Amino acid sequence: MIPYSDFTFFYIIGILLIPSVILGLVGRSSKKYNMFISVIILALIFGVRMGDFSINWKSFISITLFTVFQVLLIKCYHKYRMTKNTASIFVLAVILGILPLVLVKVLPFFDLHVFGFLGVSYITFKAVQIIMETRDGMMKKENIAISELIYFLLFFPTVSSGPIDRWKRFDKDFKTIPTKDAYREMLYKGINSIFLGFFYKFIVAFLLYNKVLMYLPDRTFGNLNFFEGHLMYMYVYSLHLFFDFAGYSCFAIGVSYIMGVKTPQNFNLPFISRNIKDFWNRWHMSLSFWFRDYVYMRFVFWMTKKKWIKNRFVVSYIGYFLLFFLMGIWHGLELHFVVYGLYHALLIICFDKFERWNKKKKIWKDNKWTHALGIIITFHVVCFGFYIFSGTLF
Amino acid sequence: MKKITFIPLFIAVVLFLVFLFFPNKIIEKWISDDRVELAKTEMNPLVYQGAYMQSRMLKGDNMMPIFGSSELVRFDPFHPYNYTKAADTPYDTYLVGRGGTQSLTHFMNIAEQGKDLRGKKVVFIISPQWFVKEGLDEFHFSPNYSMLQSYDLAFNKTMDRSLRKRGMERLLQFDTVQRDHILRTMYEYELSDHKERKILGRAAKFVGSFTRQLQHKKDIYYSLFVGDFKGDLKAQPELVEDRTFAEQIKASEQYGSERVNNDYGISSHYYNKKIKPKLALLKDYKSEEEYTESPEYEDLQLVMDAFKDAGAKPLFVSIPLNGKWYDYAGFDKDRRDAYYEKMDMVLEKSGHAYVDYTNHEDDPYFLTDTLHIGWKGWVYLDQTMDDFYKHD
Repeated sequence: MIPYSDFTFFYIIGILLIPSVILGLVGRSSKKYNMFISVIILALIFGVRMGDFSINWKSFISITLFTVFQVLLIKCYHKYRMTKNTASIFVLAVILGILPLVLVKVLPFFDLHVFGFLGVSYITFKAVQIIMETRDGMMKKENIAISELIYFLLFFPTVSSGPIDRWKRFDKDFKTIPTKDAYREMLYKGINSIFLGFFYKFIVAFLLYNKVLMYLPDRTFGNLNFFEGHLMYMYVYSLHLFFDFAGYSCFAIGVSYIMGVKTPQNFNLPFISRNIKDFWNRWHMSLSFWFRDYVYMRFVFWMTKKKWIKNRFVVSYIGYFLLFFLMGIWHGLELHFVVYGLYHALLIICFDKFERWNKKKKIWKDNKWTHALGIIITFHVVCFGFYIFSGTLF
Repeated sequence: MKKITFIPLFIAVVLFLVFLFFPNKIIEKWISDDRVELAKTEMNPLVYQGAYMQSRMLKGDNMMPIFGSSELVRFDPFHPYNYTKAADTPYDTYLVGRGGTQSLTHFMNIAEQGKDLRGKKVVFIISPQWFVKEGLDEFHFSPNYSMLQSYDLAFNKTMDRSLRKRGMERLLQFDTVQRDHILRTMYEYELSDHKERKILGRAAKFVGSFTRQLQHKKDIYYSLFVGDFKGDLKAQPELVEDRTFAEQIKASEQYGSERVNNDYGISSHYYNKKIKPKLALLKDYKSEEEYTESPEYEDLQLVMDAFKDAGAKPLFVSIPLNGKWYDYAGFDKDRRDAYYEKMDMVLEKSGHAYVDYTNHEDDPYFLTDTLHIGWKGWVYLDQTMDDFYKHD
């Protein structure tokens, strides 16, 4: 069963969440109850095939083994880190952590569909993040409870496609019982978010797809020529992608809030970004921040420390390149995803060069006209990126 | 801190409930007869995907609707709707269909109207291009798909059981239906004669019965908004009223000749827009096509059986292709004749009334473009409808 894809799912969680709401409103902890219903909902998500309502053993066993593996890995590394700290063991732990994800992405190319399930990459991101922070010594004093760790990794509202929460932040919510008033506010925000999601996903995205996108780029009954068809496809696809995904994120965030967890936002009006850097601070934020913190920053620190490359701009550019290349192939190993990643790396690097050049020359003034122009340019450039991403081009 | 209040939420729920339980009787009063009249020619998908508006239109003993597809929007002074008004025929008509409404879409609609069609005469225009090898595809099916009608089919008690099952089996081949888990489960439950997966099947029917009622409520509300658009029907009653059949034929030839700028007899508008820019590309582009093998024949059979089951009296109309154009497109005469003959055979076997216009494929101005009946074609159809209505 795919979360939030149809009303059946909402009916089920709507009923199961009633006790959580009541507990929250009277100021009691709903943690245990939430953990209990998570088991039921996870069993539905991973174990039941929608359509014929049959049991999906493959996905069920895959997720179980995968979770056991990640938990063991984290616990072992955490235990090891208590006493020792070598780079090689750390690298090994990270490689082991992303190994299942790599296998899921690579095996299909050899016609091996051994395992694979919803949300494998999002769970991986969370697991790798804990390993990295353990390495940094951020979790040294803590004793990570296995139940909480599993709850974090498999937190059902966000399990299939994020937003990607951080352990530190999640842990804080997990350990606090909100007061009556605080919970009222969370409930209010949660319901708002869910209804915004209905609007985004089930009204706007639905109409965009069924009334327009379905006929594009080349099923327009002769009303649009090749170029017009593809041009329209580019914009409508981009808008659809946003409303569909942002709608999904709203559901995930809303349900999290109702369960007392303030899952971070994923989108902040990305189509009014004034430049490409701004865009990545507004689009799929939890993912781009993850890549920023755990790929780009690590790479830059590491290079600076080792002093292999002296020029700090070159280091930064290689970092961007690495970030977007990985983000591209994370979507899949197909050519269009690779090109999508490289396209954005190129955009960021060019923009960075422009920004530094402009700092000296002061040609691009900062006023409301350049702001508006910046939004317009960024929008089109971003849409072209999604057009590459869609795989229609090649 | 901002004050948190849940009052708007409660108001929303209350408003929703008011909408949901608002009496249909009152809403029906808001839908005027003028609106119903306009809806007859609007060909709004909400009408043929729904139930209420059609039941209003079908009221009256002298109603003879036309089921068809894209040809119906080709209005000219001889178009059946304009004809019935200008010639003051003893019957009235309305139009059901638009581009892509092929047999299966009509089947669902006929099943929906069911016994309302008992004893009614209807005209059903069959288009040759429906009978491509792949048959109806998702892209033509889904925009015309009616959730209301597909749910009603699962609960339909009046239609013959085996016919219903054939319909559901066919519908299950489409993604649109497969994606709807409740509908799919209900259909599978019905197809197994309630023998397999009993609990799941009953649960789906329980949930489905609510969805179905919601769809009907939605249909009534939507009916408030159809018939808003007064299109240009291009009526010129003077070309039709008090004129003999021969005079109308003449007038339609005159009318057509003023609107054609090419040797194929295709209207200038269509020719300039869709053909002229890529004429060379279109040479022989249909050289591989055939209309004699297609799932559409089965779908058409569903329509024929559904009419019979409902007790309607349909007249099927077999339309030719544009001979000159199809020669150019590489769809040669032998293959066209093979289709015409097969269609004749199918119609003959069905036992329903039918009229075969396929000997008009080279008759100028019978078709308005490569395959749509219009102009002179309408004059013939008007005449046929007059006779069909009189004849018992």
